[in-house]
Amino acid sequence: MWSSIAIFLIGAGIFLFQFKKLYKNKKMKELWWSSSILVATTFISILESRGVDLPNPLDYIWSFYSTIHSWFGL
Amino acid sequence: MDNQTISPRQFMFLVIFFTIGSSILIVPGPVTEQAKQDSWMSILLSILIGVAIIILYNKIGELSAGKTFIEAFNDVFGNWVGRLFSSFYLVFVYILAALVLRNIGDFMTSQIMPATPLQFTHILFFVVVLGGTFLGIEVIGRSSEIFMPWMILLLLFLFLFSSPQISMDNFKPILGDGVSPMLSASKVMISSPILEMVALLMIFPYVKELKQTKKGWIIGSVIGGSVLLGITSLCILVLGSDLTIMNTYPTYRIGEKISVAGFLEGLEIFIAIIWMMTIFFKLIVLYYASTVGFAQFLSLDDYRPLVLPLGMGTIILSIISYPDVAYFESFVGEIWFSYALSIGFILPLILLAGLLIKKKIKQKGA
Repeated sequence: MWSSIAIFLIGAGIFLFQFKKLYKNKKMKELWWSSSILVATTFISILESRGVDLPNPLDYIWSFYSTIHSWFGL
Repeated sequence: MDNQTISPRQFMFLVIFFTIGSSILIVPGPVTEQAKQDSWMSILLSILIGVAIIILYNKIGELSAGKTFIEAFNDVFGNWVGRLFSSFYLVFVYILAALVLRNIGDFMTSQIMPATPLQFTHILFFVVVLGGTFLGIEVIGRSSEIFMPWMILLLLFLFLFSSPQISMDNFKPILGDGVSPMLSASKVMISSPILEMVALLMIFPYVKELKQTKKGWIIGSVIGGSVLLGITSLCILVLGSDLTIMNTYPTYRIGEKISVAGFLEGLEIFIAIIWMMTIFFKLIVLYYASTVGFAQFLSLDDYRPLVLPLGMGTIILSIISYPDVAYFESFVGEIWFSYALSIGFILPLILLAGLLIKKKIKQKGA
């Protein structure tokens, strides 16, 4: 629980740090993308800290290349 | 994107650090597992193949005319197809950064700080990387100049003080199992770090003097490769091929065996310092390449707003990317070569073909 709160606070801290500077310089596109990525990564981090079994991206790469290997008989 | 530049010398240092990088941890064991006492020949062969691959990268860098790998793809193939290819490249570099972070994390928690949670090791190490990435390529380049003499000194220390324990008999029999295990083992170093050097194409446009840069890349990779050759040979000569295979970190074991005049012992931490330095630079180059790449992919003016959000993602990816060392070893053994080959060789070949066709069309039009 505490680790999830800590992650949320870190995410919020990063957002505040970025928002102030980017909004002042009217960099809305940068603000939008950095906020979107931040929300996604904070959410995933909280899920991980709660012990949720997240999909491993390497598994997808593994299955893709295994299929190719089997096509070529490697 | 970034007006900063680095000198060809700094670029060469970055190439050396990148080549040694995490491979100093990963290469000796798996190469020796396949080629046994002939692993030095496999590494020598990999260095030669590596030079040919870097000539290809240099050609792309030259034809791209000041554009990064992502920009060149978008320029040659247009927005949609270019972005599709770029996304494969970005995923590769980003995942690689997470895996390199995990390499150092695993090493720290298994050998140096076993009571510290893996997450904290990753955060502590990565905070410095985030700072460096935020400051830009100029700072990264200058740091490489500061740290290079230290790395040379520590490497000399390692080679000098472990030399009394060398037994040349450990190299025998030469090619005892034939040529094929030696040839097959060369795949290990070709996939890591040689094909991973495709990430440096994101930095290439920021280096001054094209001719010197191309030369620096080749020289840097040969020097880095030679260090790996020296380290692997040292492992075999001191520990023998069997002990090299059995140990997860054979170079670290060599450090433990160092005994200077019977009173200066337990100097393996010097080896750990070399690793931390080289892995730090590899990680910072990969992370810089991925943030700049993502920013260019999303058509942003500045990459810095992405540094912290993507950093959070890298840390979490390094945790979830592999559940244990056995998974990682199977992944690297079965898949990594094909994956690195498709991103580090086939993708650049596609780009090179596109750049050459574009150049021809331009020449015809003129």
